[in-house]
Amino acid sequence: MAERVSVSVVVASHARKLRLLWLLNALEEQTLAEPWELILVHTYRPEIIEDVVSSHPLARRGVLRQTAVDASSGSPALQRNLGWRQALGELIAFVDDDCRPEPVWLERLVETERRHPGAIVQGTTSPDPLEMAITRAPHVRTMTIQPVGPYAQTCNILYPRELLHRLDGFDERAIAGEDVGLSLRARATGRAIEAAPDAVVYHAVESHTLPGIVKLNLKWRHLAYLVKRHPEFREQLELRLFWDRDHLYTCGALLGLAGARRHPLLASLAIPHFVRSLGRRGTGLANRTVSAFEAPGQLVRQAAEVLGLAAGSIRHQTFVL
Amino acid sequence: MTSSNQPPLRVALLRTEPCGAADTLTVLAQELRAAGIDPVLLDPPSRSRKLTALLRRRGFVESVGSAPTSLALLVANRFDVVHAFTPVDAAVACAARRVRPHRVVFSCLEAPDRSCIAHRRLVLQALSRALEHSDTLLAPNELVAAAMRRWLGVEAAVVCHTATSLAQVYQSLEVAELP
Repeated sequence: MAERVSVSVVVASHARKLRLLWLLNALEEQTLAEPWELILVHTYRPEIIEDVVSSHPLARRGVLRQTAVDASSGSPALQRNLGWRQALGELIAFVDDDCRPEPVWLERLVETERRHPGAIVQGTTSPDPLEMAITRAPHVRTMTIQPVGPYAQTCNILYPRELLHRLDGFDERAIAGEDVGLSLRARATGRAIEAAPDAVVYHAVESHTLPGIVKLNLKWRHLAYLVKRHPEFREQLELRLFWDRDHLYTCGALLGLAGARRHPLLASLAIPHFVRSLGRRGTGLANRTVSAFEAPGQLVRQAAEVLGLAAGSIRHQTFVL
Repeated sequence: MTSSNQPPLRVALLRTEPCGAADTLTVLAQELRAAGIDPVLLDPPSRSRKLTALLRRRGFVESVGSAPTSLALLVANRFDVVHAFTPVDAAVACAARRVRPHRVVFSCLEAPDRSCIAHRRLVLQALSRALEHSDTLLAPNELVAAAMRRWLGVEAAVVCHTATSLAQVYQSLEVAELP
């Protein structure tokens, strides 16, 4: 059977026991008719693996193989590299442990790859419709990707294994954005990324407290490393400097608020940020009121992200905010 | 087992869901009393419609509204066992024992599925705490136990939720030492 595996699904997992179980359940329902395998590289204790993985139907059917790495040394890049390097399939599909693929997900990715041999295939990622109520929280983490997007995140993408070999996989020095880095190196070889819009993965919707989301987003300071390694990525940035439009407007707001006492006109720099903030939840009085209540927290969150990137810029000696 | 000179086990039955379970618990409490248990139905005051509507609008699960009152009741009173029937109640019971040591029993009365285990704010967090910190997880039948295995990754004891069976569960917990 091992010889016949056509696609390997690689999952790196850490500290998401229940989400991982739900992902396994979703993968169990895949409709792909060809033999496929799941390689899980995780940081869990043996008793958790016993509860969640070993007894799972995918493991009993021999579809799932798992490798444990030490939690202190594990990282998404290292775990994914360990995963694809032991894969038997010629195609490697990546999905994250906080995602839930639709039953036809793998089938659609493989179909698209067969139509475009050698291409990278990116699917659609949407916030999980079963968790949409959570988007009413002020600070939410989820993902929306309409393929082909600029970042080529590993929550829903397929690579030919030979390409991963040629590129030597993910850059394990990258703490964040290792998936973007890989896609940039792939694009540099002339390899195309094809869209598979009907290969859908639903991403978890998680609400966080303000300190929680600030702490979580601090990891994005390491994106400066990505920009340093791939200067061409600046083309994707706002004004070749700001990670996204929110960061641009936040910098304007901070500058405006700081300078308004001396030069009142500078306060106008904050207008784009506050207009955007007030429209976050759509139009209508109720939505605008909620947005207004949430605006200070949003500013703190965005400011923390910008400051984090500034610190990362100093560390990696390249400027990105 | 409880000997004749020991006071009966004091068991709190948390009922915060405004659903059919309330009547079931009233009957269960009466039967438990007959089985030699001292049951207390903990009924936090019913939530106002405004609070419920606000919680719903902000994406919370409604039972969060009763959590502060439940916590206060559990901290203010001594119980040997607290039996919870929702993830939020079980998480509250686990939190309360930092102040008042007691056993926590968490029963899933209905089969969980993917659509109701992370559907609103704090459900997943409460569920994770309840599963990790409860002393015993119960399922009323094999169907619910199988769903708990599939969606929660836990092995729940299948116990028919009658007074006699539950009294045995409470008494077996009482014999074991508190952490």
